[in-house]
Amino acid sequence: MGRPDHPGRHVSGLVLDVGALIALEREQRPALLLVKRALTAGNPVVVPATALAQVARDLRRQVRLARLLRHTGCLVTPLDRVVGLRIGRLLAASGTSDVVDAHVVTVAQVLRMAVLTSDVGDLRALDPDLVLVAV
Amino acid sequence: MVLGMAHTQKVTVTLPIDQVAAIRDLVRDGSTASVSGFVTAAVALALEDRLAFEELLDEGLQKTGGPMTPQEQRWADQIIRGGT
Repeated sequence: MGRPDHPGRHVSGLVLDVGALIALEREQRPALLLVKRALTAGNPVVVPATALAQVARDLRRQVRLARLLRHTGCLVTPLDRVVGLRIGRLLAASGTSDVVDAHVVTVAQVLRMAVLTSDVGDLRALDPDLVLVAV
Repeated sequence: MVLGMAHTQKVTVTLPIDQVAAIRDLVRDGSTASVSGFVTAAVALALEDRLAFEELLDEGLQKTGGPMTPQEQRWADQIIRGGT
C-alpha cells in the first residue's frame, strides 16, 4: 500500500482518476479498500466526467464501474464553462495538454480531496500540493 | 404494523422542478400511482444499489486477502481525511 503523498492538508473524500477506475474494475485491493471505506464513512467518491468518459465503454461488462455510478455516494462532476476555463489556465501554467488529468486535478483542488491515481508524476506536475495515492 | 403495509412517515424533501414535473406527468397519465409511490420506489432502488455495490466491494476484498483489516482501515481513513 502506498503512503499518501504530501500529508497534512485537510480534505475529506476521494477523487478517482482513470487509473483508479480501472483498478477498481480489476479489483485491485487498494482501490477496493479506499472506495469502500470512503462510502462507509459517508464521504463522497468523486468521478470527474472526463475520466469517466475515458474508461466507460460497456457498463454491462464493467460491473463495478456501473455499480459505483449507481451508488448515491458517488458524484460525477461535469466539465462546464467555469471548470473548463480553470482547466485551461492550469494547462497553460503547467505547459501540458492532458485535459483529463487537468480535470482530475481541478476537481481535487476545488473539493480539497485526495486523488487515487495511477499517474502520480503527471498529476504532481499539475499541482505539487495535492494529496495523491498511487494505485 | 398491519400485515403487508409498511410504516410510513411524512417528510418534506426538495426536488428539482423538472423532476417533480416529470413525476407528475407519470401520475397524470397513469404510469405511476402517486408522487409518494414513485419516490418510495426510487428510494428503495437507491438503497438496493448501495447494498449491491458494497457487497461487490466485499467480494473483491475477499478475493484479494479477506475483509479490511484494522490496519488497512486506518490507512484508508488517513488518506480519505487528506493524510492527516
